[in-house]
Amino acid sequence: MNFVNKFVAVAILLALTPAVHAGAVEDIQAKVKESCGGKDISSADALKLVKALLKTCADGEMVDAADGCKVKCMKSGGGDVVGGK
Amino acid sequence: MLKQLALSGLVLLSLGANAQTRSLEDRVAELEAAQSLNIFKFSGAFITQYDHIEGKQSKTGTSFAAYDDKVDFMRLLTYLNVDADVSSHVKFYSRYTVSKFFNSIVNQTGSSLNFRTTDLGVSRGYTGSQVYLERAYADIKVADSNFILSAGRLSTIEGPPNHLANGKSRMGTYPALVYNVTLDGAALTHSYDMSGSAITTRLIYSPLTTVVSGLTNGVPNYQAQPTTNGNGTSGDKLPSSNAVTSWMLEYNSKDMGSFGNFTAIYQGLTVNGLAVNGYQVNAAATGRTVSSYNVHSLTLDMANIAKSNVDLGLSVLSSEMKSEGAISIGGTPAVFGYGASAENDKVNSTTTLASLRYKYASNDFVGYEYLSGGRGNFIFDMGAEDLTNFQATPGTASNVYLLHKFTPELGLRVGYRTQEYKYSALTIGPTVELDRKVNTAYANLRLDF
Repeated sequence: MNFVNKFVAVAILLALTPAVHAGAVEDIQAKVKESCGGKDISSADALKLVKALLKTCADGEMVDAADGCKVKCMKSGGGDVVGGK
Repeated sequence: MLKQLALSGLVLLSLGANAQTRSLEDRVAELEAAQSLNIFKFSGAFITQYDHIEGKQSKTGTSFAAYDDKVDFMRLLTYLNVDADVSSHVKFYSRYTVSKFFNSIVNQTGSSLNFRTTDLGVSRGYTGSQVYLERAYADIKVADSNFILSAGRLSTIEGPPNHLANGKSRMGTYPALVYNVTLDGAALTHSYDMSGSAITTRLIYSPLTTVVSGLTNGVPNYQAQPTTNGNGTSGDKLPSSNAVTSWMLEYNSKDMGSFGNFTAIYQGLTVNGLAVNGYQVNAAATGRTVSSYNVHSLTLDMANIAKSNVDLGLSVLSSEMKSEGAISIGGTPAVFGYGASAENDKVNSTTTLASLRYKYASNDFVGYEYLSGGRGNFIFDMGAEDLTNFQATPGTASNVYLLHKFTPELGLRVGYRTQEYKYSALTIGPTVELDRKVNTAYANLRLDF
């Protein structure tokens, strides 16, 4: 496959790739609002927190969310515990 | 070439046109539709580890020699998780694992008792670059109830408190002291969620299987029952499967006053019909022993205690191994089962593991583990990160480490383990007193992705 074909394939893939975190943004916005005294954050700011709050943190860990406010890790197990956590 | 350029231009133009003319709602709907087709999630880990192990023992016995050696190993372990959200009621989880020493060119071994090479531990057996199926099970939600039925190769390794040293959330179902091996089976889990907390009960059935195949006397494959002589055609008949049955009661609170996260796990486990046949001990031996193994354990996991950045894991295991029968050598009963020194013997043991971790800077942790292992403890830890059966030490052991996270995904842990074996590990025949000391300096670089 030459470069142009690869480019076409990537363009099509990018166009069809779903928003991986759809739904997570709203969850994070709600969590920040609950944990940080009613603070509203934009969708863009919530999107930046997706990885830290849903993937890389550990149980009980407090993650910096907004303006010094910390939010508890929102990660849920994916297959690590039989029947869910 | 011109044709391809024109094609790519058309594709881009059509995408651009779509983006401009379609409403935002249509585009969101399209994205949601596309997402519903993407049921797969990928993740994994890549771990390289250096071990400097010093072992020393002066006492000798029939199965033990004095030694004083030092060895160095580099090894790697990597796995890829492929999970699928099949539907709102069905999820599938799988893990493909490779564990190996760096460039292994000679493997000097005379032991046939390396259980890490069996189905139960081979994915963490450091046997080579081949890929093993370490996890493959489905969680099936029963109608609209709180019951989940699971079946397949379950996630029964790397349980609490092993996640602490890795700076991760709970990594496995069974507390590591109870059983740290990969088990196939079926489980029924019930969760009762309250606000911020949950009570979970779980029943797991995992049969250990003995397959008789490849007979040359005309008995078809997979239709002969195992026998005491090991060829499926004569001798006392044995069951083709032995049940490992476990029951768990868990309480978890995401925000329990002084604790950032609190989990308490009671687990009981029983294995019946663990048979040892005479020929396994000695070619001329006759008879057999049959043992049953029962466990009760309590594990506590307390994260971020009093918001002090201190995490504590405690695990206590009480076990009993009961054996019946005898293996005779030269007509004299000589072997009486696991840890047994007489017929119908019972071996009771208690093992305690405490794990403490303190986050002293935003990316730095210091941790300490202490283990007190009783005589005759039976800790099946073939999924252990270490090579020296740290959590199965019948004696005392400690592990101190520093963990630095370069990024949330990349961490380097350096540590030092000490193990003092006061007794030999539980196997066929009575345990004996030892004076073995094993010290391990290690460095572990872990990348999660």
